[in-house]
Amino acid sequence: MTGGVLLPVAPSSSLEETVSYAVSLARGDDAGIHLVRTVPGHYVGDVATEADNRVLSRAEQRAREASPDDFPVTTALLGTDRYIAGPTEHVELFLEYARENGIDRIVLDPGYSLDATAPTLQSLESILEGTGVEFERAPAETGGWRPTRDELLRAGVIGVVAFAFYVALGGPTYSFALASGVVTGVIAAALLRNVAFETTPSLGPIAGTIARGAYFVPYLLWEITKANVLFAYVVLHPRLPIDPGLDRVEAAVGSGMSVTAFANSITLTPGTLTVDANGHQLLVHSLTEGARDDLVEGVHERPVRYLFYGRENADLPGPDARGDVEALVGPAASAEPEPAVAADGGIDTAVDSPNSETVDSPTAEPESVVDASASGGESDE
Amino acid sequence: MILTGAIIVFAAIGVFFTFVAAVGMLRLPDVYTRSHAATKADTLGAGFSILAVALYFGTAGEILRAALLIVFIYYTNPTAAHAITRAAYSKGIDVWTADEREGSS
Amino acid sequence: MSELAGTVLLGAAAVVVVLAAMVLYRVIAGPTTHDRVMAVNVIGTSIVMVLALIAAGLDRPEYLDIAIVYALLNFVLSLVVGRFTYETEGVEWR
Repeated sequence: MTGGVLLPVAPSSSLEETVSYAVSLARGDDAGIHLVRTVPGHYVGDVATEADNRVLSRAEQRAREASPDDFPVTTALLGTDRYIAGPTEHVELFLEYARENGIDRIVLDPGYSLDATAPTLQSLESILEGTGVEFERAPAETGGWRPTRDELLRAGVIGVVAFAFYVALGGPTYSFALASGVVTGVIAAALLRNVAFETTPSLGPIAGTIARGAYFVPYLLWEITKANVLFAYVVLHPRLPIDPGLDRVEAAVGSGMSVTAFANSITLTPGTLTVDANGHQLLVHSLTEGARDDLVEGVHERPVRYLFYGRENADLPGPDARGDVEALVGPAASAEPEPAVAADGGIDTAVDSPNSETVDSPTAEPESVVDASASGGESDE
Repeated sequence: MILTGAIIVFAAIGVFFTFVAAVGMLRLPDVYTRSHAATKADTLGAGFSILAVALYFGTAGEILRAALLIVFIYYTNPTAAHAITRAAYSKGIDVWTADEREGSS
Repeated sequence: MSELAGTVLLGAAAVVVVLAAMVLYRVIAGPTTHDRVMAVNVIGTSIVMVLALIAAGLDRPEYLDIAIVYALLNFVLSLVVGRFTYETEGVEWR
């Protein structure tokens, strides 16, 4: 039989027990066990993968201890070739892997979480329920209320920031005010330790981001000012020379924080506005055609990548050259191909196709495109 | 005095961009284009006015609070506009295109 | 600080109030809920500006705290409305 057990691995206190359970389950079935770890963001570099590999090898070691020598244990890193964000995309990776390897069973770790937020097991389970795949939760202890080291670290950071904010706002001078500030900080830390961060903060990347922020923020402010002068011109112009459009962009940034920064800098800079975001996919509305060209060339993306991933990871072809742009509404979607865009790399994106109804792109399944353009695209004709 | 001049200039720029935002809110044709006005012009207008206020006070506590205020506005305004346009898009509100220009608003 | 700067800031506050009143038209006219909320958001930002400006104009620095709280409330308002009028099925991503 094909069979086998798929176990998504995350650093959690109940990982060991879950692995043992999965191994016993797999032995009963006479099948192997697959330990998988999803890694978001392949343009990010090797920094993230290191920690992920550590978790994987920890789980693998445990599996080897709990099983006879010839027991097949497979480990895999998933999602190294794409961006994933949000539980749905993680689950999709699991299912894809399960399909490829003929696995018919998924075991979930009760302490599993996609990132440093609260355990995401429930949402994973509800997504899996809709797919008809057999899955179960391993009967392992989650460690109850005892916080892990990472949790303490996050709580500490939140507490310090909250207290600093309190002092900055109130400027307390007497001991009662200071004491109540400390209490408030502790409460905030206890409540938000699993909410506020997506990954446990570590000094290196944060220091780098702050240092590069010193370059990024003035740049952003300058861009914002430019955007506004342009916008003031457009709005105050008697004929209102606007030509709005809507595009779907796959942002080449990984985590929630950087997607937020990217989306907000799109919103604040010349003529572009993030309408919706799902994972790393953004719907971007542009006010004028020039603004759209900037967007697809990656003008907004590079600074954000510089901010979060450093200089060596900043240079990347723009979304258009990567084929990560898809025009839904507006001049680029309804008109015949723009020569300037079509000549770029020859990748078959939506802008190359003559009308928005038959848009087909390698990055997305077609039916969604028809649906999305049905809401706006038909009004073009 | 130079400081007074700077305050007046910043306040004037702030008011100007607020004016642009207000005009944009009234003139632009649909919710998406209007949110451009709500995010860009309004944010910058608020930023400049608050900068003028910070210069006026010139004391550490007030400058800190003004800076916090600016940071909040710069971070929250785009997010708020995004939340609203996102809801509008999910409701299927059409995106206005240049082809509809004859029906001016 | 000089009398002049304070007066100018108060005047700026008055102008911003007038502009906010202009935006009120959009709140009334709509046409969609989202237009109205957006306009209310813009008015809210204007009020934050006004609070900051009269904090300076009247030499009442504590108004800045009110402005900060108002800015955050304004943000929460938009988020809540955006959240509750969002239709999960409305957007197809793939």
